[in-house]
Amino acid sequence: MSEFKDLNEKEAKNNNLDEVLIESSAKELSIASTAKVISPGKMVLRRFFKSKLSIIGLVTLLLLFIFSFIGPLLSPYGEVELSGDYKWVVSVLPHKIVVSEINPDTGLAEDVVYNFSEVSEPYKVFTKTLPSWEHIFGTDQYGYDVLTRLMYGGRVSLLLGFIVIFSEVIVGVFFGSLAGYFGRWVDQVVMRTVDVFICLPGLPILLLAASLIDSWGVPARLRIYYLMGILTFFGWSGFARLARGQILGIRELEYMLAAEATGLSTKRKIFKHILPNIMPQIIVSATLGLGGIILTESTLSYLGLGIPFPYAAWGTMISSTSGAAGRDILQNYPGIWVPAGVCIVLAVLAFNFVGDGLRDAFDPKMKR
Amino acid sequence: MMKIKERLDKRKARNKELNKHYISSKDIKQTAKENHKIIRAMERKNNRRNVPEEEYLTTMRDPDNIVEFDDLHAFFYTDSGVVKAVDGVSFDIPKKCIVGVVGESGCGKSVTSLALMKLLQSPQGQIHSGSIRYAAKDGKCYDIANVPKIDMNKIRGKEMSMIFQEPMTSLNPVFRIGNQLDEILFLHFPGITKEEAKEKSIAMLTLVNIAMPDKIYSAYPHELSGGMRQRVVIAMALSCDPNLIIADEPTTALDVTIQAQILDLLRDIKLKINGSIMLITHDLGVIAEMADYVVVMYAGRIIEKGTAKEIFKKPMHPYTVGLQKSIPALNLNAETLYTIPGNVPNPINLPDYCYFKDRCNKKFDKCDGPYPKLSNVSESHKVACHLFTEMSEEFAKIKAGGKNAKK
Amino acid sequence: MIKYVIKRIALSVLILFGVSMIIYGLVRIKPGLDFVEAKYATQIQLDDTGQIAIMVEEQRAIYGLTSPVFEGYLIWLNNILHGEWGDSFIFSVTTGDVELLFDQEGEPIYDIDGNQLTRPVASSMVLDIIADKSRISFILAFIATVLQFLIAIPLGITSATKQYGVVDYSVTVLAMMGISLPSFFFGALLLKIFSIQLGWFPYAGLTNPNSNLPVLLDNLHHLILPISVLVILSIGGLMRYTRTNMLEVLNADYIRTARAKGLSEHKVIYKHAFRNTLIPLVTIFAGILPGLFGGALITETIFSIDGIGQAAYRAVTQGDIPFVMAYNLFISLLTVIGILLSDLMYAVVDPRVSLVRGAR
Repeated sequence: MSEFKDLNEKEAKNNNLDEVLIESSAKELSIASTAKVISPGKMVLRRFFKSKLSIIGLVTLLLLFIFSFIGPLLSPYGEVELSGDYKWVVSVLPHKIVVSEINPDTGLAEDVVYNFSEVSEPYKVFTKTLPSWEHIFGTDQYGYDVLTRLMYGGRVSLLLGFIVIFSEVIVGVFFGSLAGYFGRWVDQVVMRTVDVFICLPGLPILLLAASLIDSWGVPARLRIYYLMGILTFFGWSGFARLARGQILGIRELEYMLAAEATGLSTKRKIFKHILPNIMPQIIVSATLGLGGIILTESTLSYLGLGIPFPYAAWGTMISSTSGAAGRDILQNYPGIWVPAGVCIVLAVLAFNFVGDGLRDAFDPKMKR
Repeated sequence: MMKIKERLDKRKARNKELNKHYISSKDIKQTAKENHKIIRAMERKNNRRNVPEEEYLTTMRDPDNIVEFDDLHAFFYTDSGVVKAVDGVSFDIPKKCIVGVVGESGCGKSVTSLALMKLLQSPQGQIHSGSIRYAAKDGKCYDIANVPKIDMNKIRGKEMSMIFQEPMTSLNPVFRIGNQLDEILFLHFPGITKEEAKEKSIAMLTLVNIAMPDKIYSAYPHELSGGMRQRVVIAMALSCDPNLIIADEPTTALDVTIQAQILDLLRDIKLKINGSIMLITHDLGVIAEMADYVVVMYAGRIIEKGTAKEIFKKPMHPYTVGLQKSIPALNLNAETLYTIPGNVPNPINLPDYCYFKDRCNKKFDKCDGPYPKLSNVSESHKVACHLFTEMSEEFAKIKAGGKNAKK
Repeated sequence: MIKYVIKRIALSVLILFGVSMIIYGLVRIKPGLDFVEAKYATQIQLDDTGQIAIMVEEQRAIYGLTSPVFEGYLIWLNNILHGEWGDSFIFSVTTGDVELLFDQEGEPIYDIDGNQLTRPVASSMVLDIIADKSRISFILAFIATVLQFLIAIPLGITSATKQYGVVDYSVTVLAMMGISLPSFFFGALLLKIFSIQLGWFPYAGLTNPNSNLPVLLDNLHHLILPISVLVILSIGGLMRYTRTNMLEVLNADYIRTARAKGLSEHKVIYKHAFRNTLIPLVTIFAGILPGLFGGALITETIFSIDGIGQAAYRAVTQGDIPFVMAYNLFISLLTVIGILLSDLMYAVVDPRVSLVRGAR
């Protein structure tokens, strides 16, 4: 077998290392020319659209938007327009006057009481109705078309949600970034404040704030803005904590050290390097938070402390079922409150699906 | 207008060309459906209870072997295709020997050992075909491929035990060391008392050279270093006196000095215990020190096997040669370190030619043919390489021709 | 260990100060008449004896309304720490004490048997009201919480071990319901279907004087719908949380080691995996304490249960600021204690977390 061994060794000596290397690198180049280059952003979108739930969520959101913003333009009724069934009613006001008259029998002056009623002109009073061809969901107890109010309610809820979340993100990310980036005492001060806000009991404090607004006598038109302010004020802390956590993680990564080594200015470091890398998680939380805001706003409206009457809100429509008068509505007029609840569920679920889908798209490494 | 249409057509053609290399989502859905069906059938078979023993009893080919792998195929049925992690592996583990299984990352050596213990990641990992014969302590011989999951529990731990690669995470962090050691004793020795179990556990800890075993017995895993945790895992593996210990890269996660200690320990133990050790590693140095027999795997198949002496003195397969050349030696004056160029092929849809041919420096025309079969270099030394087969045939012809000439 | 506990308690106290500042600040922001003056404005005008004006001043002193904001805060805080939380405008409850009745000359009034007549004492003090109304809320919340955990944790474990099975899908559906269904909507739906249309359950309140069931069973019958609302909406989240943690644990190396030892699948899941899943579950406890005593505001309102949640709602709509302030403070206190307890429990449950710095 020795000849065989010599053959092997000779071959090994003649083995030209470079040839093999060139051949394999040539192969790699040819593979490279057939490879598609996809940017990370496109990869995220592709992963997002792979999930059926995300697509359902997105489509539902789209439909809700069209319903809420374009719907009112197509509806023949207004938000506070009386229509539907009505009956003619007169209101009767009893009056009593005391007149001093002279009694024909005694000849003395005495007080005589006259009772009379003041009857008004007949006027229309609109009432709740069951669904019909003119009013697809019927009219509510004030005489307004339910479907139209559903659309206007959606408009308010969605707009409010976006504005509140947007403000929360800006305020929260600002403070969180300060804390995360500068550290030490800035971090301590900001995070203790965040702790305090997180310990505030969610619903009770909102109730307190909302009832205070009530007692200040703010006109209905402006109530919505105060409401947005309160929601933002009590909600920014979550984003601050998130942003800070993200920044703490990124700060230590190598590419930040590289950025520092090349002498970039602080502003450039923050805006070009840090912010784009914390945005994914922030976007996911913001989307999920939108669902939460819609729930909170509808809860407040249900309790009568959110969007004021006569503006339409989904929560307010459901509150018509409470109390003594509500029993009738609860039992016999489901068209007034069930669609509102369904809209809330659809909106919150849709935001949650999209948020989950985004989360999976940004970080596919988690297990199925 | 024409220019725009031209460009659009060009782009469409290019996309089509590119997409040829990518699996479309329709294909994925179809493969997923098929694979799910296969998995479900296999899982159902695996999860049966109260299966009569005759179904999986068999006899060993050679009574001196503890384990005989016979044409084992272990696949992972994923949504993108079937990953043939182990594709036709046959070798034996004789009694009281150390068998080293060597190869690059992803060559299937871990999967072989997991298949033996039936610890493949279910439901995707399944033993597709082949048999794994195991000679139990009581003289019976089981075909592990047919043993249902629930009956494996009497084999695992008692007949064969495993040491894993990551000692830092191999122990349950919320239970004390003593608790975890006693657990395996209570499981396989019914009727043992608490005091006896504690005694035996502490004896095991002493066996693996842990100082102050009493203290360690009541400690939590996070209080120990990596090396000590690996010793504890080895103690656990030894405590029921198994026939076979499988060590899956036991030293990869540890630093070199600890590695030397653990290897010394394993060698020490081999002398004391009755069983064999199946040592899986990618480190040829470890194999050279420890193994009696060596099995070299590449992309799910065995490309060379033999005694340690044969493999190191006379490596036949170009891959084995490359592996040995890749170890930087202190007394060589090499300018550039030798690496085997290229990578392990994609395990989905493996082709039917020698997997190494794109990286082999000895490739010739026969290598484009079907996958080479194992040929004998000697009684114990086998290799799967067209070059060797060709050479030995030529050599046999020359020899025969020479004989004829002589005649 | 003690050092850590003291540090955490100190931090909690600091946070409570912050919370109380925010609550007080909200109340003082309003320009013009403060809430006590606003409440009694008309009465002061009509009253000629000046008694009411004196009472109003006393009341205002309790909340520090007579001084500028910061001093007022300190006065109010001082009162809080001494147990003087103020009087509610609209509520009064019997405290269980009785007072003896005297006639106009100061002579005791006797009844037929010669015993002095008594009258139950009513108190408007906020603390008394909270104590009284929490009772029923606590019972409701306690039953709901126990049921929640008993149902959610085993189902969560099952949905993790048998992924994509029936249990897994129903867990997902319940979780989705839990995050998107507002409790008032769900409660209204349940009322409509089960109470009005089917007539299985009563519509409101806790008792039905016409029923012939023993009182306890009758109360339970009334509680079924509200408890259902609370339980159904919250198990989804808990189940999903358990499932996620279980999945993570099941993929860990030490589970593979446990299997390699030859342990039965049952032991692997319920001894090794479950113990590790418990650790993150402990953090959930932080949120339970305020819920137990704070009352489920909306559920109580819908089902007309006279608990502390509904009381808070009535207080808010009727402008009973002292009660709302006290309620907020109460819940914050419970939240902070809850977080503290959960941190401490986490250290107890996870042996890797050492409370003493530097110990191995």
